[in-house]
Amino acid sequence: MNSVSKPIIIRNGYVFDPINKINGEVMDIAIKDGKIVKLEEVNEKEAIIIDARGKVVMPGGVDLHSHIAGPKVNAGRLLRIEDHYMTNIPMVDEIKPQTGSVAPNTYKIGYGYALLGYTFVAEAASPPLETRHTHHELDSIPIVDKMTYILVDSNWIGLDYMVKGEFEKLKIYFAWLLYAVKGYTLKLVNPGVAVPWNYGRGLGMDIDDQIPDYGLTPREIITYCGKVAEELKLPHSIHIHANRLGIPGNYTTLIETLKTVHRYRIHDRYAMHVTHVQFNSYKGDSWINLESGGEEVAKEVNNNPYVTIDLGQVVFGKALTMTADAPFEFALYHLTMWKATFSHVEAEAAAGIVPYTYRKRNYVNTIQWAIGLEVALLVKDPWRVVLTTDHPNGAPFTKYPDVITWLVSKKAREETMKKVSQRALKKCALPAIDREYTLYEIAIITRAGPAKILGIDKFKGHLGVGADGDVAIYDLDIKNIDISKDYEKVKKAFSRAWYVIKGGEIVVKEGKVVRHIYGRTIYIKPRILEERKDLLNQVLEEIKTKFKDYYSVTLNNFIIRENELRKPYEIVV
Amino acid sequence: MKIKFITKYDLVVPLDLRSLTPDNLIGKKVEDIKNMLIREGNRKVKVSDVFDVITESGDILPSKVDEIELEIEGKNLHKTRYVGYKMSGGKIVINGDAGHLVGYKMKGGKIIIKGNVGNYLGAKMKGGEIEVFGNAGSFIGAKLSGEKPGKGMKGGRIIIHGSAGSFIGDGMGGGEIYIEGTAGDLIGLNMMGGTIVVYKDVGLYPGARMRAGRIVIAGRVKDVLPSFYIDDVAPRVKVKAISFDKPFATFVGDVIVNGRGRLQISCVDNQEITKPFEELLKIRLPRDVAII
Repeated sequence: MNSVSKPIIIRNGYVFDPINKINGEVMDIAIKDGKIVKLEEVNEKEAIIIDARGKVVMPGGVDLHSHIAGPKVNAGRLLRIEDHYMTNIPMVDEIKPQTGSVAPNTYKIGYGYALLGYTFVAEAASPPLETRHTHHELDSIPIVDKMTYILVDSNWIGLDYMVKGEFEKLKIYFAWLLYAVKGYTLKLVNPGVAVPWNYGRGLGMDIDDQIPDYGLTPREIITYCGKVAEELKLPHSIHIHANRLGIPGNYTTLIETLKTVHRYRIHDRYAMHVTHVQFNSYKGDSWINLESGGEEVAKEVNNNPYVTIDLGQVVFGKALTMTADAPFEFALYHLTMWKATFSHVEAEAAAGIVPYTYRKRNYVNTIQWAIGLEVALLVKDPWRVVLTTDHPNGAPFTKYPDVITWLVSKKAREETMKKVSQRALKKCALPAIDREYTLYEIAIITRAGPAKILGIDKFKGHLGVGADGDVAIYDLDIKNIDISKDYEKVKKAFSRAWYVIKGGEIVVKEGKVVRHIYGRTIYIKPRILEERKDLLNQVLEEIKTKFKDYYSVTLNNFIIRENELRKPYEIVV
Repeated sequence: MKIKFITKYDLVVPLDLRSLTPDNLIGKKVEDIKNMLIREGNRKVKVSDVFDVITESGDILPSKVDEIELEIEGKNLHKTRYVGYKMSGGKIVINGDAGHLVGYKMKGGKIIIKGNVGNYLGAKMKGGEIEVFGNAGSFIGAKLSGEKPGKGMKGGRIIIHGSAGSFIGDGMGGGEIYIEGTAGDLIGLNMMGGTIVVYKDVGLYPGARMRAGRIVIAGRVKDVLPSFYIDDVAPRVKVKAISFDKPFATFVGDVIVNGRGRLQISCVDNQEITKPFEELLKIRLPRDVAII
């Protein structure tokens, strides 16, 4: 919040602000001291005036699932060095050098998101022990505001509490963990899988299979974690990467996972977010007779108002799969037989990274591409769908405009469908779907929806008075073109935002990044840590001894302090 | 037509010459060439800031790429980078040393280097010819590290009259490399096709992880990997127009990647390696005896 920066007035743009129910009206927007204010409060003579006549004005984009920081991203950069040969952009003035496409450096991530009009990104998975590194990398990403989710599904201490059934202690332990490593919410990746992976097993573990050593099932882990999130009233409830990801026939597991929300739900709000559903919606029993299960998944999402999903859309081209679901990556490595790297975080998680290329003529890849779009088009409520490519698993985030184009235009989908595997299309519902997203709905699935799902809709994802001054302006004259027909123009407009304002400062000017500033890191402070001090001390005593057993670091070195973050921003719940 | 570039001063920082190729100079005026921008170190400079540009006759370059001949002269030319980048015809002569990445992604034409040359000579080239009169560095005709095998040199010919470093033809998919001197370790690593001929000694483990292609070594080899098996001993070997009139042992491998590449090493120079195999080949086994 730089108070020196001049106030800004954006005039005459077509404003799309779904949270305030503004659909393409011509309006003026005023920004002062990093916040959106009423027009009267700004002195016009002092202000910078941006004439957005014939342009689309939206709140800054919100991406709630993207692998942008942490040790695994660094390992991915080392693994995919050929990504960095011909993609170098030298330093110009204060704009730092950029490199990479599927494994970009931190500067390119920040600038790349800003160019797309995004001003908020959430790192999707960080094992607690490695989160210090994650925060250091997040601090290095310019422009965007960010947060990180904490992996808890295979946390040995957490599992110990679950086995004993000590729910209160589990709750306070997870609350303490979130605050200790400055995370935002609980992330479950293939719940419990890192435990059998200790023995080299765990591939294809279903939701009701028993986890060795603990006797728990993934469903119980989801229920426990969900209950913790509900009772702590975390703004974003648990974030799940479902079991059996990437295995044919896994759509039943996904539907079962979605149904688990009824076991723990207390409040009338979104209680579960299932991420990159595309990878979990495969029908059929092998890769040869793979079919799309998008319809079934969309049906379940339509019937279940408490769950939210994001797509994990595949875009043809190079990608880099990186996930904490190590058994799956191990299997994928044997499919590609090129290069891979794996790692194990003590007592917490395992991870793997495998480069992958999605090919148009490939049967399986075509079905993967179709599933993501099917789910997006068949789920009726756009507020519960979020556009992601699970960067860099499905495609790098720079391919978001492609996905937007496919969603707004049936013609664009048909053009792409001509080039893909025709045999695969027969197994998909996509060719028969006529729905086209409007720009209002695009604004929902890229900004308003994710902001609401993350529980940060007070200050992100809208343009009402009091919101952060994050605005993206796209050069798209919607009154004079038909977005469904002129989809190339949509793609061009969304690839390079005309203007982007972050926290009241102009960061992108006419398609070029002009400022190098740093955003905030948002994290959670559960109020329970103050309220239940006695129980917290008791749990801390227990954790101290367990740290000696399980970890190679001491408890004091594990805790990340506020002064280690560049711009901390605390949310008390 | 000949166009000459003579450096005005001794080069100190790397000079990126990727835009000075015959393809880029077709039909251009000499004045325009002088105003072209090239990257020296971290800044962009005009060609005329670095070079004196001299032509033999006329002011406009020919419109056919094969008629253009570039000659580069001066001191410290080993600071040049990307000479002949993606060129498809014509000729470049360097009267001195050249730096790294000469002939990167080259498609045709000819590059002649009178002195020594750096690493990644002819990396990822698809056609044309490179001739080096001095020594060369490592990674000749290679892929860039991290890329898949077979993404290296795909065609064309590289002739080195001196010696070369290690990793010659790493990930090579086709084409020919001739080295008249010695070579370093791991030549033909990850090779998927093409031919490498070394007239003198090489270092350790030629052809590691090769799947196809041919490596001929007429000198000593430090060691051959155990994942190669003997196929034959030939009395003489011919590679295109070159023939070596001495016995060569042919190995097939590398079996750890199910490879069918051929590694031919001279028997006379490598007695201790090939002798046991020669003895083995002499034994005629009865038909019903199987070797286990």
